[in-house]
Amino acid sequence: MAKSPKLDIDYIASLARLTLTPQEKKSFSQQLADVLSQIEELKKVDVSGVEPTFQTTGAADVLRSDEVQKERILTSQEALANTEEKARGHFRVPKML
Amino acid sequence: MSDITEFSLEKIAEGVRKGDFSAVEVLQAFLGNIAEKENDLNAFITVNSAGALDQAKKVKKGQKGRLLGVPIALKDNISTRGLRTTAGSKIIEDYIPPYNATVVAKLLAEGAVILGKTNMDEFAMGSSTENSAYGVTHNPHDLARVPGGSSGGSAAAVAARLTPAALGTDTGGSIKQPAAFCGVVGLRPTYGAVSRYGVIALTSSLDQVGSLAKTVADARIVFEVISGKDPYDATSVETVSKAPKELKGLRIGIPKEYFSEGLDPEIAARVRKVGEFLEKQGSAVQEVSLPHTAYGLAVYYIITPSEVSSNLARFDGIRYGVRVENSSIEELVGRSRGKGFGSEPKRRIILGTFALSSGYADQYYLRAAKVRTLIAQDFAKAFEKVDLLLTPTAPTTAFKIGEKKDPLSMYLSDIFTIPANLAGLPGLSVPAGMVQNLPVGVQLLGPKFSENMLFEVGEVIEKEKWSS
Repeated sequence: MAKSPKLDIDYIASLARLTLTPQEKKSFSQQLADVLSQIEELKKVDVSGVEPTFQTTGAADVLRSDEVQKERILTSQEALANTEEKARGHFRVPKML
Repeated sequence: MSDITEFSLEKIAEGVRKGDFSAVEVLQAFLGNIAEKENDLNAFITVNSAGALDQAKKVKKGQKGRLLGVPIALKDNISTRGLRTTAGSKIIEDYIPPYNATVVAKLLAEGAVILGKTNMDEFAMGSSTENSAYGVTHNPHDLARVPGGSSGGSAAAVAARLTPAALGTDTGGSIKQPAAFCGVVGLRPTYGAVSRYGVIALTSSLDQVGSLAKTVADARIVFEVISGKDPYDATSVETVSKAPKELKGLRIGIPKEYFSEGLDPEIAARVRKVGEFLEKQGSAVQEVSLPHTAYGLAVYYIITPSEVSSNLARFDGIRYGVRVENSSIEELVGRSRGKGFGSEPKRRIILGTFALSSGYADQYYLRAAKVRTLIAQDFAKAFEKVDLLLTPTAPTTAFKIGEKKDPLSMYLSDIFTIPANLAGLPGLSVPAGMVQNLPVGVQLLGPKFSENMLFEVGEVIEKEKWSS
């Protein structure tokens, strides 16, 4: 069985925008190595010629008519109700540019 | 008056409609049980006492509604307008949804009263309800044991008669497994049968809302109320539930791969006994093979974290939830997520981000999606020979709180529920007595939209007295 690849936890955490503590990095690296070694089992399966399944309904290109669904529109007040960090009807974020 | 908390949903709704008792009296009966038992169980994150009372007062006799005056508890990842919804996580501890999930709107339209929000593993990641940021839920049959999960609060609340019925969500087995552990009925519908609109997403290609109840008949009514195509969920479809077949002549398969090493021998014996009983009722039981069963868990632990890493990206500290201020947006987002998420969401975000990262996506995610096809094909082939499958719901009865310490051993409690979920199939867990004083559940699996057949067979099983 192929050895499972090394998971570069700092790189992955930065991709995931997730700040981890040093202890978390250590314990997750070990636990995820165990999980990945289990997952390596999948390499034993012959999947040649098999199509992947991403969903099970068989539905494709489900479209709706291009109409405003008024009953679903949140007011600005409703949309902002779950944060304190707002200003003039907008969410407040740090300066980005 | 006899005990309302033991009544069927139909009997409650009928009694309220006729004026035999009021919706307020019904609610008070259940709030009474909550006052008495909730301290020991911790089944709820939020009890909606005041809101439910307001709703119940508005219910008048003579009104229409299949659930008129019936209190229903909802897993706390189902959005309720104006009522806190945490998904079991600290990261949205104070989140108040501005809209109702479609399933909630449908319950309200039939006269139901929203009793409260039940405890769950954080973002539905877990099989024991120990991963909740709001404390563990205890199993009503033995307080030292878990109720299962992730819909453990819903299962415990039904088992202890804190609510007549509850909604849960099931991704890898999160309705069926806790139903088995708590001795109640749990339905995971066909993928697409119930709208996911307003349900906080774990794994979009697997998540389904379903019912937990005392009896199959009750689970069925709730399913009928919440199912149907929803324009707000493009993956939902019109339910064309197949007509029930008579038990006589019904072909039932028992998959041999489910009787593997990890299965408690007493549970194995009980499943066989249920098979023999169904055979006496006129059905034909045979052994079948689902050869890719052993790969279900590995497929699940690629697909779920991959979708999780995407779905949980929305928790960024900007629009709702925990926010750790910083002058850099990257740091603000990273630290807010680091502070707000518990261990299991973090582990799965890391694993999923890795499985989807450049150079590994084909090796992991794509390969898992292909093996998922093979698992679905196993079931399709089996259903050419049999009408439904009978299996154990879980490999063990409820385990002790704190017993499973490493993530992998916890993941194993879903080995029998995961494969059918990957294939999008409906499943019903029905109580089949006790083993060592703890409830045992058997799982009935059928082809897509065969819920009615599962209900019919489930009712036959639940009516039989299984020896303890």
